[in-house]
Amino acid sequence: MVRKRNYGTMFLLIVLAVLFLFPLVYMLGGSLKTNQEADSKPETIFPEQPQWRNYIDIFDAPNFNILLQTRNSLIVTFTVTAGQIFVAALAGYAFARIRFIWRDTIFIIFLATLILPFELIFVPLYLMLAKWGWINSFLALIVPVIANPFAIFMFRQFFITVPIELEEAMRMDGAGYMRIFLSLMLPLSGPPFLTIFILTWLAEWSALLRPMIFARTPDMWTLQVGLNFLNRGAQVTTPTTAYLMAGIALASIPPVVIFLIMQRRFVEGIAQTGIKG
Amino acid sequence: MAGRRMRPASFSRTLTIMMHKFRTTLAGYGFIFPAIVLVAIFLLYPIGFVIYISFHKWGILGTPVFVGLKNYVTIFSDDRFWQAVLNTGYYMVLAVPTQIGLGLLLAILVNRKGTAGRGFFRTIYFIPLSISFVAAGIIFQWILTTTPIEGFLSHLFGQLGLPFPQWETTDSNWAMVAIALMNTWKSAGYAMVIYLAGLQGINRDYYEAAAIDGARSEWQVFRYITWPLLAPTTVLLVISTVIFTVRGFEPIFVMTQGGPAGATTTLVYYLYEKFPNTMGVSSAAATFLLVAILVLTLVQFLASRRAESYY
Amino acid sequence: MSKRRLTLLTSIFLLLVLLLAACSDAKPATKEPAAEEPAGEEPAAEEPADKAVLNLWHTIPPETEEFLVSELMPKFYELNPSCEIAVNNLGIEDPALIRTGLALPIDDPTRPHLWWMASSETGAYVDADVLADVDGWLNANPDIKSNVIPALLELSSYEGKVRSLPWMTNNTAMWINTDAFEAAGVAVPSQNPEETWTWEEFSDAMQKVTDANDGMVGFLITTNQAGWDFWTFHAWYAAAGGDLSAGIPDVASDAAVRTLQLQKDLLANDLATTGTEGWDAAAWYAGEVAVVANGPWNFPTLSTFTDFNFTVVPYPRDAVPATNLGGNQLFIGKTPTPEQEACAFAFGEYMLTDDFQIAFQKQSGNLPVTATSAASEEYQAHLAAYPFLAGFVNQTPFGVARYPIPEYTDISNAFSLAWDDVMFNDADIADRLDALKAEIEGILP
Repeated sequence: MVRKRNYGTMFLLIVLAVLFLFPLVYMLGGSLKTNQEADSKPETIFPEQPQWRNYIDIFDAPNFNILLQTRNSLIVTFTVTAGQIFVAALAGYAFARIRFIWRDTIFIIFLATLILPFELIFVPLYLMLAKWGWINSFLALIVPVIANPFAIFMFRQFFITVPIELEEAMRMDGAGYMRIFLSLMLPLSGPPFLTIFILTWLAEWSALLRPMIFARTPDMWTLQVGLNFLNRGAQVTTPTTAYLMAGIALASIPPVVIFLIMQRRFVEGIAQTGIKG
Repeated sequence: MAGRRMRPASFSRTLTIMMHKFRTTLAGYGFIFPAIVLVAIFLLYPIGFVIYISFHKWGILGTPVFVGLKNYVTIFSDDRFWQAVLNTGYYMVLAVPTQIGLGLLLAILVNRKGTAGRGFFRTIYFIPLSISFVAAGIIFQWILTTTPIEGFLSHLFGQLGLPFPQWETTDSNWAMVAIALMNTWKSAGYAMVIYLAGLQGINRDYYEAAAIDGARSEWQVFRYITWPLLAPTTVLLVISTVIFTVRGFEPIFVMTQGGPAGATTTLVYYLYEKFPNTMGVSSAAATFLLVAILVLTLVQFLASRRAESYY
Repeated sequence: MSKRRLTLLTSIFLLLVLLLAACSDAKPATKEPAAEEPAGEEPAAEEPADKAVLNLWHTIPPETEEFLVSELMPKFYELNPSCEIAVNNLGIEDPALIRTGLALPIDDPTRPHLWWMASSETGAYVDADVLADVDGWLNANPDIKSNVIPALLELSSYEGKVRSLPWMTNNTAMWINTDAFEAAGVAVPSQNPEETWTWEEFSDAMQKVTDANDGMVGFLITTNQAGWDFWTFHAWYAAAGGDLSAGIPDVASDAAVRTLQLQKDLLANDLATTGTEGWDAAAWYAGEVAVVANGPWNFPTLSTFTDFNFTVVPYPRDAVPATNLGGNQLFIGKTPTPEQEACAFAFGEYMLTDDFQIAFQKQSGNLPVTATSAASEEYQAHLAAYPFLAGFVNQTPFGVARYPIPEYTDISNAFSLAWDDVMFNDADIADRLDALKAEIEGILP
């Protein structure tokens, strides 16, 4: 009986895996076609002759300075991730364990700010950042997103599940809140740490609108912004579909690598975050 | 401490309690200080600004002119606005259950003991999260396109003799399906991981008890044990997925630009179309969105509380 | 997460950053900002204090932008050594972004002083009074003013005064797959707009070409893009004798109805297919449609295209020959110092010189805006080398422009919905256009 079920499961898993992988395979196949072929012969998955030089050619594309932009992306992504974890851990602990006045109201307000996307608030944000002279610097790319209510939420959910006895034991030893945080909460917080690390890292790496609007010169662009210029959305003069796919493929390597490194711990991490309820 | 009468003789006790409260409040605000400052400056201020502008007429250039509720009247009497509200609802109905349902299915499959290469499959289902929404939108639009050049899927269906919806032209109801499809592909992995955690957190004792009680089929076990125990996870997922789906802009911007004939213009896209000349109207719609989602979330939350009380 | 793994990850990251910083050849289109750490400042103006710095915001396609910066700007600096122009590519063609930049105080160093934009935003700029006195400058330089093609001066005007300088112009014309026409026995129309094909001849040609060529239809009808669709509509509407004296087309008029009827008939008879991104000529390159209405900026591809024989001819004429004028302007904004203003106008003057126009348009594929550059030997030789360009150039005198009022985008969006409705949902043309007209009236101030 068990074996039979297993085949059913395996079958489903394989079918679903094929479906999930297909868009990526198609993208890779398209990246190896010529630009014309990608546009005019979409019915084939693989090119007639693989154009490996596509991957070299895009390095020459104007405004797609891949090394510089990758560096910028890495700086922004890692710094935002670190910043978010730092701020969220502190705040999450307070929301979970410290009873201060208006705590719940503030928490709800924090969560409410998640509702409106960046596209709707960029105008006042831009004007404010320009007034401070932050536009076109890493300050504008990093600082506005360090406070992430979702991350705070995650940390709070986790800290709630820490047994209160542990905390009380420390309290009886005369420990203050900071000491409890540093010696008890923080060491345990591997799971939410990992979760936020991956989610934020992936989100920041693929952010397009914010880096594009807050950067004014090409040397402050991130990878996604540079990639945008290969996009056939704006009135481009030449077909670029294959180049675009190649660019997407290249830009996806770091996130996939990061995920592969972290993924096992990530799944374990979610299990212990307490987010499941 | 509530309800205890304070006797005059315990003045020092009151003082101690107050001191304690003060210290707690101080500590609490100390911890949330960076968060509160950042949220206030970079989130609350712009959102407040948007709400403020919703009562004005403004084109970014020039000074805002106060017009009271005029913008709200404008949007509430605009057919396209209500169409956008409907479209948003349609998108939610399409995108949220599929994402969560598929995630659940994947989690169950991957969680089965004895399945070979579980980690491998789990990775595959999660990889779409590494691709940006813009990239995913471009890829899906390319695969699903029907006109003027027939894309891969349309061509395949044609070869198999099956009809393929002309979602970019005449079958505009399918346009939202296309977007939801891309969204599901991209986000199901996340739901899967959350559910995996939930599944692994279910005590094996429950299953043993069920077996003893004579539960036969998988389905029975799922319906009476697994699903109810996953309820808190599901509630959380639904609430957060709704929020993140409704605010989605990039999928529509990349794939359909609100078309065809306005079929995929959700509230957020409707808002964007009012830039930059009628920021006031745009902000009114944004405020409406904010309030609507808040209410919706509250309703979902209260409903779940009620349901939870049965367990 | 073990400390060890954390340390490993951090060191990998730092290593990567150092590596990239070392071997990245920063080829900025402009000067780099001074600092790059999170304690960064604004783009440093490190030049000697006597240089006037201007910000130029644009969305010129990357290859042309590179040409501009590496070939044309140095010549400008030779003539104007005390000027410095920071060329900023915005990445997205979003008027909201430019307006946001302009909303900053006038002495903010990141505010745009010059920008590349279609004339459609002129009304908003005038209302907000952010433009420099271009009209006055042109009147003070009559030889420059008289050199600009009159139709383009008109396009750059608002409320009687010229508000910006045309940088490049274009229009759309009919790209013809001549092989397909030959196979169908249809004569290729003349490149002279006054002698070119009529609407009847056009419909006829579409029928014949579709019948004679397997897997190919006659025309590509564009949908889903308010900006593009409304713009090309202007061409057909004007050709049908449509009235533009009010600025906005009269969408309930005969001319408008006939325009939609023509396109709808093609679609209904399977002589045309639809595309959701009007500027995308992929279907034509692939041989799926015989005729598209598209512009000259595709020159880099067209000039080397050899899959089939082709040419470019004017729009079919009905009551009159017509096309839709487009292009981008150089907007000169108000600047804080007189030195900057002098530099701004100096750049405008340089932009209108023959040297600049010929070189820029040859590279970008768009059309020159001044009479002398268009008539010059060099440009004429260019035209002779690429005969299909005549299809665009000859149309320019017959072009009609979009009306630059602030409400233009809203009207455009409303039009697009009506257009899509007719094409896809079989809405009754006259009724739908009447509804549209009422809507437009509601939008107009």
